[in-house]
Amino acid sequence: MPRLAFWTDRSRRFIVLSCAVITSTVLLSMGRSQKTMVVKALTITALAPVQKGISLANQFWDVYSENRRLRQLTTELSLENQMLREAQLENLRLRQLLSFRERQKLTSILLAEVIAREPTRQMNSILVGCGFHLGVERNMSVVTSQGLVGRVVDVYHSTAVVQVLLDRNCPVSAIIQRSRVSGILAYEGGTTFRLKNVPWRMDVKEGDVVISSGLGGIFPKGLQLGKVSEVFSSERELFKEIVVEPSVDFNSLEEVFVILNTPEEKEGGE
Amino acid sequence: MRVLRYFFLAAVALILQSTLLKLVAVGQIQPDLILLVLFYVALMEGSFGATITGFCTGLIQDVYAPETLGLNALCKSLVGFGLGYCQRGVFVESLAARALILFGAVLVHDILYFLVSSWPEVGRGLGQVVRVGLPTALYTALLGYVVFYLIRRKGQVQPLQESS
Repeated sequence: MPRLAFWTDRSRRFIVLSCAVITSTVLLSMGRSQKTMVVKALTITALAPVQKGISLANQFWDVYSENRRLRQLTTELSLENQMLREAQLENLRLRQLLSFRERQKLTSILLAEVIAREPTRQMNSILVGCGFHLGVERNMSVVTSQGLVGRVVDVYHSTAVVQVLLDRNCPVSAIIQRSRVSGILAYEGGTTFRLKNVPWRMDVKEGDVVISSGLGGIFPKGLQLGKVSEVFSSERELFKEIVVEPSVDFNSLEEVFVILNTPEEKEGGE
Repeated sequence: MRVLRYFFLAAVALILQSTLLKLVAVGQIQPDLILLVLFYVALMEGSFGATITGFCTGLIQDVYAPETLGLNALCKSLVGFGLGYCQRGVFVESLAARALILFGAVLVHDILYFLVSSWPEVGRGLGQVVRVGLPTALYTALLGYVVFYLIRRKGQVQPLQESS
């Protein structure tokens, strides 16, 4: 009996192997169309659940890969979108600067990028990316499309320090555009200017535009400085107390113009 | 119950082989998980179970490549039988020896596969054996070593003693 069991077991193994080899060989030797039929039959009948599982896993993998790819694409597009938006804003700012240049009839101005701010110093100033190699000199006016920013106080080879109007040591001779009342615009802290030396009976109203008068000899005439936001006057006081809202947003300066000369100067020179 | 376990193992191996193994591929070389499972089945069940497992898993793989329908089934049946036959009544304790046997099994499988699939261009088949078969065998053996080590730590390998 043990000998019979040995043969049975051994023959069972070889029978299985023979069947497997014969079946495989028959499948291998089939023509393409026959193979296709066999594959279809196998897939549809016996292997459908397994195939479904593998397909599901493949689908999962594809979805996972696609998800990763799409996430990367989203990030790239988001970055690109941010850059384009930034470029659009820059374009808008430059357009405004150009229209300002034409509006003010400034023949020779230089575009300069703000590269640093120095609010902690005694003097409130910014550093711009142009210096004497481009013709910048001390006391030249610096503007944006919104109005006057300040003046150049130090010049280096490729940079210049600009003292902005939000500095106690940078008063500007100013006039009210509507009534031509003159005064001295000065910064005394906070976020606004004061228009000083305006007698109490002079015609100044809230909303009046304040512009540079050109009398100081540094800043050209007609550059916007701000708008009157509050007026306090009393017969007991000699002068009005006038609060002026700056027209320039000094916290968001990115590009400015340095006025190299003005039409008046040019005419004077000629 | 054992059959179900092997079926589950083979299914997992097939799924992993066509999905997540892309993540651990070195160049184009992936370990052959199906042969690893076949080795395990041969170790546990001997040549009878390994031949059937080899044939079925090979056939499933062949379904995805109808041009060579039957080739995987043939190679895996023969390798399964060979593995089971060699390990008949012998339980190899050494992990390195097991990895070496697995290496040989994968190599034999790939030699058969590439020679038959590229027949009569024997040179091309041998080239594929060198370029793909050898690295695959090495990678599978290394992976097998790790798997055997983990299995041994759990103490789950109790081979079936076949009658000889």
